[in-house]
Amino acid sequence: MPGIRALIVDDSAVMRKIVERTLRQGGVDMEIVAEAGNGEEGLALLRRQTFDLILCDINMPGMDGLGMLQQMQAENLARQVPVVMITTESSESHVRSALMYGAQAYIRKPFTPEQIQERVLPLMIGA
Amino acid sequence: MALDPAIARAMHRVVAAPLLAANPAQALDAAVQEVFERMLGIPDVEFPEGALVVSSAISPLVPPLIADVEILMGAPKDSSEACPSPAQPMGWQETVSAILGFAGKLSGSCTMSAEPEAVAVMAWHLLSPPLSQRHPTMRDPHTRDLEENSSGVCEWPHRGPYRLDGTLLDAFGEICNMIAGGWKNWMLGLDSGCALSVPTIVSGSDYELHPVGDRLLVERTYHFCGHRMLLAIRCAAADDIL
Repeated sequence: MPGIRALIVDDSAVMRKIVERTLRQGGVDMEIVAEAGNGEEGLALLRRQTFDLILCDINMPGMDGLGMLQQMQAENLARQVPVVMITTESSESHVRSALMYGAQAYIRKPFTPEQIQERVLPLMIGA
Repeated sequence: MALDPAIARAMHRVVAAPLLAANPAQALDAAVQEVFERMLGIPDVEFPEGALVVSSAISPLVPPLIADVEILMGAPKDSSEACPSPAQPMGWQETVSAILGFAGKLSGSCTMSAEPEAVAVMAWHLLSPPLSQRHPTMRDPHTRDLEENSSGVCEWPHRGPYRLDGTLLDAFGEICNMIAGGWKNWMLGLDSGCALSVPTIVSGSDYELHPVGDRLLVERTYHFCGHRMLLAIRCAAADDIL
């Protein structure tokens, strides 16, 4: 698998680094990792660059993760790119909304490295 | 509207994990243990002081809940007594508190307080990869012996002065965020009627927090790696929740 271009959207810089580290430890070869602190910043990057994987939190100041997914659909952005939600929110409505707005996987924080690998690696192989 | 089977299967994987907790204190214990074990690599969090308080400051909660918790913990508290500040526990010189808000079916706050070094220890564990995944040549030579001789759980290599910078406080806030989210999930299960705010960090000494209108208070002191932290959940709730 060649190096991928990943976008990590989370208001916590620490959590962005942990997600990146966990993916690298799980064998995901990442050539580029772009970071955004909320949905607006994520959309701005998506309008300018192409990514192979998007990892996104839900609760963020400004535009949240679900808002970003909705806007991606509205603008037809990154239609073929796998989106994985990584969030503390695990209520039925959040999961349902995220999946209906185009997320392919949903991981609840706190997560284990194994969970990240189980949910993300198949998406990369299928991409 | 019928749910797409693929979405239903994906939902099951996510939401089947948490079960509803028997009471708010057990939910808090479960949330803390889950975060410390999965994210910090500290499986042994202790709560030897049993410092739990359940109070109905304004109007009574479901009475059996309070009775059960008091019996369980042996630490009943007069519900008419004013709630103490969770930010400055007795004997703590300086604290750092992460505060997160609940809004909706549960409304109130989750406050996690600790002394600065405890905050640094927690953040260090969150930010450090597990020992098994660190390459020996990448380790700090000053701490290598300590790491190799330790159980691999509670090593804290830094000695001397340290500074709580933005990264450590960010990590502390994230830990509180995951605990609060976990507590909410244990309490409400699949219910979606409660939103979480982003964390706010307060630090210093000689300050108090004054939440308004809370009906439930759960306070718990946890010990880890020779340090301690205090977690306080204060909230009001729709009558059918608690």
